[in-house]
Amino acid sequence: METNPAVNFKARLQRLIAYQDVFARNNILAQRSCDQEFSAFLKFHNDLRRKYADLRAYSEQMDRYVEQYRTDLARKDKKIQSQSSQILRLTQHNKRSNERLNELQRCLDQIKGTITGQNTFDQLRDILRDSAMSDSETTTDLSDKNCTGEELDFDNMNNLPKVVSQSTGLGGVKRSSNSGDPMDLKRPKHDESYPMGRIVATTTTTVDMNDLNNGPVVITSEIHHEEHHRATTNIADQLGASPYSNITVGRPQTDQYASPMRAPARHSLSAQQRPKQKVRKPSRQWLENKSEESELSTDDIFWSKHDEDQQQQQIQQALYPTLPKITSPPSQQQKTLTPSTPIQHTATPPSLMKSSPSSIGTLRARAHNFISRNILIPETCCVCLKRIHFGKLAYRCQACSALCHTGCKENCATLCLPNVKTPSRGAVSKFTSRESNQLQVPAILVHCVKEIEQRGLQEVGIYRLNVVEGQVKELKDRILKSRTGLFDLSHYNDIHLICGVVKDFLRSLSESLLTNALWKSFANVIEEESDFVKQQNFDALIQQLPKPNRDTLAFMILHLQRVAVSPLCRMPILNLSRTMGPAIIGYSSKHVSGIDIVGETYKQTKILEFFLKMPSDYWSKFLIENDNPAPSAPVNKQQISTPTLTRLQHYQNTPPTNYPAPANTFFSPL
Amino acid sequence: MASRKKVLLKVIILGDSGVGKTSLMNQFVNRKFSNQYKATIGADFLTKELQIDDRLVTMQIWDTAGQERFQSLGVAFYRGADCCVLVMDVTSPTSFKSLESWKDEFLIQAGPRDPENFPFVVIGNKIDLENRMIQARKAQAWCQEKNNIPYFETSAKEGVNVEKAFETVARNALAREKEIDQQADFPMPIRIPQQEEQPKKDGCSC
Repeated sequence: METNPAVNFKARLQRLIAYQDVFARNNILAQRSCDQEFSAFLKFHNDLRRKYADLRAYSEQMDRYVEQYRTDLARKDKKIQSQSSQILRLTQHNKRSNERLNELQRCLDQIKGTITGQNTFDQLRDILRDSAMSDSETTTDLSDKNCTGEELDFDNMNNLPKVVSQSTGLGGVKRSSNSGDPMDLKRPKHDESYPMGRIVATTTTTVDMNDLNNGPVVITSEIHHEEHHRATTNIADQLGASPYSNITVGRPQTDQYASPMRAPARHSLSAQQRPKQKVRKPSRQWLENKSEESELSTDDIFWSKHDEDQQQQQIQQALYPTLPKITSPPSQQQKTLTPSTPIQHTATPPSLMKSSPSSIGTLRARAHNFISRNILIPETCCVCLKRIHFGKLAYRCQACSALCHTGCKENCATLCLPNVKTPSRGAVSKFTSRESNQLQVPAILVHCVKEIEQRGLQEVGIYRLNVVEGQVKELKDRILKSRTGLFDLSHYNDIHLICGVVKDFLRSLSESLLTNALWKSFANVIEEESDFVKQQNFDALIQQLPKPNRDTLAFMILHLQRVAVSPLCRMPILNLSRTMGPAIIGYSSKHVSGIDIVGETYKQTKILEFFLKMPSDYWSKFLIENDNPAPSAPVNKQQISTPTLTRLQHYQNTPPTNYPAPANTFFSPL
Repeated sequence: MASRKKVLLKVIILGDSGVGKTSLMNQFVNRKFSNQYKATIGADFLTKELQIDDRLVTMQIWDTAGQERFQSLGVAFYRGADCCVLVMDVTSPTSFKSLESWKDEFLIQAGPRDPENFPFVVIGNKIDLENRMIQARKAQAWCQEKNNIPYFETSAKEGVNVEKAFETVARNALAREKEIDQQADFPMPIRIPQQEEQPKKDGCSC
C-alpha cells in the first residue's frame, strides 16, 4: 500500500515532466523560433566543417613539409658527418706537420748555431736544399689526403711567402735550379730522376695556385714600370699631363696571366722575352713613324710624340667636332681624306640591321679618319686580314689607328673608338679613354658586344658554352695588342669565342668592376631583406664607383639584359648571373681562397642577379648622361649608349631569323 | 691494415659547361633527369653508398661549374680527390678538345701523389642525341694514348651506362687507395740531423 502511492507519484511526476517537455516544445514550435535556431546551428556547423577541412589540408601540407625537411636534414647530416671526418683527418695531419715543423725549426736553429763566418756558400746551399726537400715532402703528403683543403690553403698561404723570400734572398740557389728546367710544371711526371727539380716544381705550383698575381710577377712588372717611368717623366713634364697616363702609354704590353696552369711557364718565358720585346717594339713602330716625322730620333721622343699626337687629336676633335676634315695636325703633310664611308655602310648591311634586334646594331660608327701612308713595315689589313706589303700606300685612321689597303677602305665596318695604348693587365680604367666626359668602356668590350648582339642573340647557351682556351687567349691578345685596329670580328665564325674574350678580359682585370674597396660593401647590401633598401644602397654604392667601372658595369648589364630576354638563348637571368658572376662581379680581391671563395661565389651571383633585375632605365641613365655635360665632345658618345626598355618588347616578338654566315670565312684563328 | 675501415672516396666531375655533369651525378645518385638548362654555381656534392665486392664504399661526388675553368675556385675542391671523371659531350667537338686541358689543370691544382697513375675516367655523354660528332673510336684512341684511361659512353637522360661508369670510378679509386695505404705516411726519412753533423766538423777543421 505504502509503495503504491509512491510508485504512483513517481509515474505522475514523470508524466508531468513529459507534459512540460511537450508543452515547451509546443511553445517553441508555436513561436517558430526553432527554424531560425536550427538554421543558425546548421550554418555554424557548416562553418566548423569548412574550418576543419582547411585545417586538415594545412596539417597535411605541414606534414609534407616536415617530411621534406627531415630528408633534407638527413642529407645534410650526412654531409656534415663526412665533412667532420675530413676535418678530423686534416687536423691530425696538421698536428703531425706542426710537429715536423717544430722539429725542422729546431734543426734549423742548430744549423744556424753551427754556421760560422768561414762556411762556404756551397755548404749553405746543401743545407738549404735538404731542408727544402723535406719541406716539400710535407706538403705533398698533406695534399694527397681526403680533404677539401681549405685549411691547407691557409697553411700554404702562410708558409709560402717565407719560402719565396728565402729564395729571393739567396737568389743564386733558386735561380740556378730554375734555369736548369724552364718547364718546371712538366716535372712531376718524372720526378724520381730529378729530385731537385721536384722541389722547385712543387713550390712554384703552389705559389701560382694560390696567388698568381703575387710575388715575382708583380716584381717584374714593377721594374718595367719604373724603367718607363724614368724614360717618360721628362716628357710628362713637358706635356703637363698626368704622369700616370704616360706610364701606361709607355709600358710595354706584357703577357696575360689568366690561366694559373700556364703561369709559371709563361713567366719564365716572358721574363726572357720582355727586354727583347721592349727594345724591338718601339723601334719598329718608330721606323714606321719615321715615314711621317723624320726629325724624331729616340724612342723616348717616339712615345711622347705618339702620345702627343693622340692628345692633340682628341683635343682637336673636342674643339672642332663638326669639322672632322681638319683633324690632321698642321705639321703633317699627308692628304686628309673625308670621313670615308657613309654611315649606312659602316654598321651592318641593311638587311641585317632590320632583323637584328640589337640596339647596338643601330650604333653609328664614328667615321674613320683615314690618312694615306706609305707602309715600311708589313702590317695586317684590318678588313681583309691580308698583309700590306712594303712600300705600298695604305690608309691609317688617325683616331684608332686602324690600317687597311686602299681598296679595303670602303668595306671597313668596325667602329672607330679611341685607341688607348693598353697594358694587358690592370684595372678597367687602364683600358678606357681618359677623357671623363666620354663614355669610358674598354674598346675591346664594345667591339665584342656589338658582334655578339648582331649574331649571338639566337645562340643557345651563349656565354655558357666553353671554347678552346688557347683560341680565346690568342684573339684577346690580338685585339688588345693590335696596332692596326684588328677589330673586325665577323671573321670569327664561333660566337662563343667572342663571348670567351669578353669573359676572359673581365676576369683578367686586376680588380673586379666593383673595385676591391667597395666589393665587401656590395656583398653586405645583398644580404638586406627588402628589395627597396637594396636598390637604394646599391644606387649609393654605384655612384661611388670610378667612372670607367660604372660605365663598363652599366654597359655590360644592359647587354646581358638583352641576352636574357632572348628566348632562343635559353639564358635567363638566373643562368647568366651564374655564368657571368665571376666575370662581372668578380671577387673581393685576387687573393681570396679556401672557404671565402665559396661564399663570395654565391654572393656574386646574387648581386649580379639583382643588378640584372633592376630596370634597364636605371642603367642606361649612366651611359646617356655622358652626353649632357659635355657639349664640346659630342662626336662619338650617344652612339654607344645603347639600350632601352622599348627594345625589349621588340626582341620577344622577333621571329627567329637565320643570319647569313659572315662573308669571309676563310680565316681561322688557329 | 685499413681494409675494414669505412672508405670515403672523393670523386670530382670535370668538363666543359653544358656537357651534363650535373645530370650525370643526379642520374647516378637520385636516378632522376631534368630537362632544365641550368648552370651550376661553384660546386656541390652528393654522396652515395656503394657495395664494391665485399666493401661498403661511400662515394662523395663533387659536381663543378664548367665555366669556372682556371679560376682559383678549383684548388679548394680538387685537393684530396681519389678519382677524377672527365665528361665530354659526344655532340660537341670542343668539349672533346678541352679534355686534355681539364686533365692537366686537375693534376696541377690537385697535386696528387704519383700523377702519372692517378685514376681518371672519361665519359662521353648524350649518346641519345642524333647529331653525334665524336666517334667512339676517336675518343677511345685518345684515352688509350693517355695511359689507358677507361672510356664510357653514357646517356644521363636515359640512364644508359651511368651506373657502370661510376662503378669503375669507385673500383679504380679503391685500387689506388690500397696502393697509397701501403706506403708509409712519410716515406722520406729525416736527414737533417745527419747534415747538421758535417758542417760542425768542417767548422772545427777550418
